[in-house]
Amino acid sequence: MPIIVNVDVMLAKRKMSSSELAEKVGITQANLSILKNNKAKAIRFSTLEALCIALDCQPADILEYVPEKSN
Amino acid sequence: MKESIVMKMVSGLITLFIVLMMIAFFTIPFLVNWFNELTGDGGANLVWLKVFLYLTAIPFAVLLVMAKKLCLNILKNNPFSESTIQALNIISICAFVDFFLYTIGTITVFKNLLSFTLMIAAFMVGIVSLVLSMLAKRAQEIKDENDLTV
Repeated sequence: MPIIVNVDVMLAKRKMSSSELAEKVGITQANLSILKNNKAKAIRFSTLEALCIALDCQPADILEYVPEKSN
Repeated sequence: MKESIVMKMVSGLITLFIVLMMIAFFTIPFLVNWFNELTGDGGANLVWLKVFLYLTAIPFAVLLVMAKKLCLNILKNNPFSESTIQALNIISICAFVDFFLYTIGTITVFKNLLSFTLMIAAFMVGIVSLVLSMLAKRAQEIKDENDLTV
């Protein structure tokens, strides 16, 4: 997937657990794991905002664009 | 709640039809003879009629089983899954096979309106279930995207 989600890195920096983050953001742990495993197809702005507030960061810290390598 | 009751009724109806089909499987020859005595000679060869009925019964039975599977899927709150799409595809194939059989029957054995009507009906069922299967596939894609939106 071209868009990579780097929530793990921010979790380690803020020394927070996944379940704690899920509770702060207001999504289920299942949805958080979908996000972390790059299985998500879309993210709501409200969720992104809640993530940035909980992790005290910018969207660029969480989302990264990696172009697909096509031979 | 109302929807669930209707679906359960439909599901029960299909089970009833399957049971009737199994009974009919063994009693068709006697039924045909009895019907023929009752209404006089319809002009059609009885042996061919029985063979024909048995032949068209096979796709019809498969169709009923697939319809039952569809009902069960809907009752399990899983309406747009891979199995419903597959079931709808098989239903359309069975309907078209029936259409083909009835066409042969209409042209060669029974040159009457009833066979022609059933031929058209089978064709309609085939077309409708094919369109439904394409709809279900699209609906499954939309549902997937919605489910994977965080």
